[in-house]
Amino acid sequence: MTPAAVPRFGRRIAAFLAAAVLAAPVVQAHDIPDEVLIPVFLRETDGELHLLARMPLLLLAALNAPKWGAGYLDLERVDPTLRRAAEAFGAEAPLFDDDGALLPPRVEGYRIALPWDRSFTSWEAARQAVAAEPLPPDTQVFWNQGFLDLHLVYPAPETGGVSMECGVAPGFGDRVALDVIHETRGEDGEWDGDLFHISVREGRVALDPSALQAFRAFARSGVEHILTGWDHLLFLLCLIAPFGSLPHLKRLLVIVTGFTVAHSVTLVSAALGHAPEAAWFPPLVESVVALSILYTAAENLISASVGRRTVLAFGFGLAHGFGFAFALGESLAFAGDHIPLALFSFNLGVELGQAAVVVAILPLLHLLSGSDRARMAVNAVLSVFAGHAAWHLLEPRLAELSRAWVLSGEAMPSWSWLLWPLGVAGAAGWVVVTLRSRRSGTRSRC
Amino acid sequence: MKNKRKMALGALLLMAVVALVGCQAGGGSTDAGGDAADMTGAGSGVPVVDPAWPTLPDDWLMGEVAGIAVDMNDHIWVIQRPRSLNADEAGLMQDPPLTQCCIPAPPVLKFDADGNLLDSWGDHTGYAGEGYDWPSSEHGIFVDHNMNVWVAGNGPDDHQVIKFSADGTFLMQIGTSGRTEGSNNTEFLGRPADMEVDPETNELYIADGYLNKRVIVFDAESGEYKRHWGAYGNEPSDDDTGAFVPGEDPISQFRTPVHAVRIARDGMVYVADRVNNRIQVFQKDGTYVDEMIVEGNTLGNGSTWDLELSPDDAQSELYNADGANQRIQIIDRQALEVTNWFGRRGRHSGMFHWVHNVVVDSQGNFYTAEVNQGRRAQKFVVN
Repeated sequence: MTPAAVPRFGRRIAAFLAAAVLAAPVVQAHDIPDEVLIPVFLRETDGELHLLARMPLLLLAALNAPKWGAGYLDLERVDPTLRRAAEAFGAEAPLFDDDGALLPPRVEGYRIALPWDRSFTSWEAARQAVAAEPLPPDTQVFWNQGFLDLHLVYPAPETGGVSMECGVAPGFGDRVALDVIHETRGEDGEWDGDLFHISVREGRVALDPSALQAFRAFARSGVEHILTGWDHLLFLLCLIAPFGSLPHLKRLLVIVTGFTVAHSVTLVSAALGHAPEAAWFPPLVESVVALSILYTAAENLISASVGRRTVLAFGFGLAHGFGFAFALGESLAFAGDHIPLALFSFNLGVELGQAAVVVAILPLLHLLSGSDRARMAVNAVLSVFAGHAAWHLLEPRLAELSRAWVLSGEAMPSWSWLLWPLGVAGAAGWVVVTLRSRRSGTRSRC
Repeated sequence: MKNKRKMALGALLLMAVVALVGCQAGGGSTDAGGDAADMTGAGSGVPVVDPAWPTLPDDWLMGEVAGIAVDMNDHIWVIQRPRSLNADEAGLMQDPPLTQCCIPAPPVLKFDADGNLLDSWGDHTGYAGEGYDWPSSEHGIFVDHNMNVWVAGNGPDDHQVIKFSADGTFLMQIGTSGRTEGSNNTEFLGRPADMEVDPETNELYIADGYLNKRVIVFDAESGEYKRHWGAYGNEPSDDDTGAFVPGEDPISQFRTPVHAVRIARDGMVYVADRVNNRIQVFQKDGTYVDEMIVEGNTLGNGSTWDLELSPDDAQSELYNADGANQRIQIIDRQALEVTNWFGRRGRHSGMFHWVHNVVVDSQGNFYTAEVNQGRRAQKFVVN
């Protein structure tokens, strides 16, 4: 920083801090989670697909089942309602072949189960549960306490796999989800199951995807994640804001490449299981992601150099990669046998989305940055905006981190020795790069 | 010169990081509320309080929390006393409002394991409805294997246990408000404290209670009377037992209140005889098996307030909420010996004042409820 820049820097910092602190939320609202999970087993035997599902009776509210007393199901008259419910499930959780043709369901059986019944733990147990004798007609089953077990049969597709959607009880939106265990015979003749968590958000999910299907699905997911991941976008914005003009294109490429390489490394390693499993690790990563925006925004207002920015992009990119991996985590099951391809295509999608953002923003920044003064003003506005948003992101994430850390009830686990040398090396690198950049005078003022 | 100063700063930074590493590596378990040595007896597996559990709407306040239960989905049900709050605490609902907060929370609250409020019944007056008598002083809640919710009260006229569906629909009442006929009556109760339903037989076991001195069993579906018994399996008597005296020979009757009843999967029934500082063990038919004394010199309200079984298959541990000594005792169920405990008297997070109830979810996490001026529910995580 040149001596002349100090007063200007001071004013910017003051404005930045004021904006961030005054805008801090007084009260955090909370959401009320209320997810309804429907366990589903799907297996192909004897040329047919058999689906077993356990649906909470709560979802049958719209069918107005016959009741008596305070609200007990009239088990002697409820049969037509249960059949309609089974048919509705077949229509709202449809199966398709690889050509997109609907596989028509046939209702094979259904039965009411009481709340304490925990028999839907395996294919065999579920099959027995559906086929068991109906409950005695005088059993007290409150209309929304218990389950409807159902068995649907579909013609097996002649070639390829099947896909499934979840639109069950549309009034519940994405609070209703299917936990589908798709069982196939392994080479040893034993049944192997893959778990798919499907809600209306996932759309149509291939249960035994081809390489092309996996590639498309995960590339799209990667693009969607970066385009809807506000924290990643804000960090990207902060990274490029001081260099927002076309003459800086080469510098930008270096910075963005540093970010890309770093988050690719941690994304792949975490997705392959090489990441801490401690409950406090996700909130730690999320906090570092928010902190990365806040720090970069602050640095933009102080002094940003290409050399240091590349190190910064790489260092924080490691944390962002873990964040991408959390988003990918549960959905990796959708890749079937193509996990490496899914990782590649998800990362590719992230890069494409990232490139699209840079391509969209850069000309705009260039247009607005007609002079050094204008470039500095644009940088300041964007950085204050991003820093402000990051402050709001950081507060609840730190609270969650603190909570998870306290509840862990223990000192850092043994693998933590890996983190500390990385931190020390990062700090040392920062010092070295700072000193070098001052000596060489390559700093780019903003 | 400047660079030298920067180098020195860098070195300082490194030293600070190294010091942090050393500090962290030397740190022990954190136990909110104080030193672990002050909070527990010897042993490992210290439960750690979750200070953020539970979350209520911003203007709700709980009164005395007199019951807590865990259902089969690991959701936590709380019954609390909205009418125990004074005008200052319930300032927002005064006319005109005294303050910006609070209104009494509804008496029945349902949370998930993260403390998010999922459901609630009633309002600041309770949960009155047609066909049943909502108790004047809420006390005891249990969610059975069919997801029905049972509620008891211990007010002067609260001689009833009420059965609801999980959404709060009234299903059945056993006993009648304002009418009690002693410890050998098979129709009326005497200020029942707590209850549990045996999933094997669908029978309702009631700790009856603050007035009667017995355990009584009904069919949980029809409400039909099945059996009842007193201490040691004796026929209960309502004769005055006098005050508890430390060191006295064990008396042949329960003292009031008979405060909790729990049924183990192996068929043992555990009864909290609070003021006698003892837990008695029975078979389901009321045959006496064994007993243990917990902190036997405890006077006043007694030491055995609520009982819970550990979630392992063998249910190897029994937990006792000791609201007099303000701790949760961990008891070896076979040996009937206290092997560990946690908690201490105090008002900070993780401490207790009149800890009234304890339950455990399927993951082994503890949830506690406090009455008198405690007035809160707490969660303790076991790592």
